[in-house]
Amino acid sequence: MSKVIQVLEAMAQLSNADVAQLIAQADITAEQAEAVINKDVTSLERQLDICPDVYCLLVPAEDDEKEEDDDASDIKSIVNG
Amino acid sequence: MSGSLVCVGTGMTLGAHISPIAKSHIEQAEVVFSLMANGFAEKWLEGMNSDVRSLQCYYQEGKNRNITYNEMVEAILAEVRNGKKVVAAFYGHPGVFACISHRAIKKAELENLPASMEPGISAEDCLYADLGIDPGKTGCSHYETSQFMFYKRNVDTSAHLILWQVALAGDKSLAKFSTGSAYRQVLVDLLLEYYPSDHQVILYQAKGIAIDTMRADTIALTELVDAELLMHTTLVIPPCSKMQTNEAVLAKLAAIDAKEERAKKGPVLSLVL
Repeated sequence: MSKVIQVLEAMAQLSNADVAQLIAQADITAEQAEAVINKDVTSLERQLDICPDVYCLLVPAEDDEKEEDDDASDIKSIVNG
Repeated sequence: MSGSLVCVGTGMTLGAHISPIAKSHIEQAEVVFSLMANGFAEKWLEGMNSDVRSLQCYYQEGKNRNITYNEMVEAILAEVRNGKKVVAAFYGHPGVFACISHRAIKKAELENLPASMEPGISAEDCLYADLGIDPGKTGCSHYETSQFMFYKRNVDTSAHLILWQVALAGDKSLAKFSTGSAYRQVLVDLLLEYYPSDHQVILYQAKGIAIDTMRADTIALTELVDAELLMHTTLVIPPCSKMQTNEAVLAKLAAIDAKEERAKKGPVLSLVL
């Protein structure tokens, strides 16, 4: 796992994270350390070559009963045809 | 040897929310399919298992998301059918405002393939913690924004109303990654049937990584039309009216209480001399 990702993980898990100590122990680059200290997410994305275009979308659920009724009416039209 | 599927959630904030069981499933899997909320979380997952396959590639603007999700389900199940121990890891909770896990598990079960889901910490849970909202205090309704617009719903203005994916308000095509102010105006007009125009609402975004900033911007309802909205922005609408007592139900309950009290005390006996 990337060292800077490990730092982010540790920062999220420790209630009283000593960021300076975590950074010193992780042995990350000065530029990465600066981004973490300055909370510069954009800079860190660039340094780690992370694609910022990550999608997290969902589909609004449709009425299941309406879909079943549609299926039933399709079957009827086949029978009558 | 039969393959298997476990759908897990990694929570919202990288590292903070993943459960021990979810982490164990990911580490022990032969194949991990992932759908994370940011690229940092994707890299984090890659550090836990040597075969992590992102499902992001199936998204495409202009492509109906039902097709996207069915493709994701097929990609997942193909490996289960191959006899692999598969984990599908989603950000947040794998089954809350997320259909892929449910579809994959349902399909796996129809094919007699073992499949299950482990809960995760969802954006909803983070919202309650970050905004200091107890859903039990006055009640809380959650809807996907477009579904809220497409169907007639009963809006209780004495409870919280949470609308998810507000940046895609009104998208019937299921192919857009955002809709513009004209669509949002329709949403605002709908909400104005229930709330005053200056009602204070909150645009909320949970933290994805430790150095992120949680977003909780309070704006007037009508300002929603031109507000900056991202894919993961949630609209929180606090109550604008007090809860109304239901006198008829309270009267029925009082009658039952009185009857129980009388039963406890037993019959009143009088000594006649």
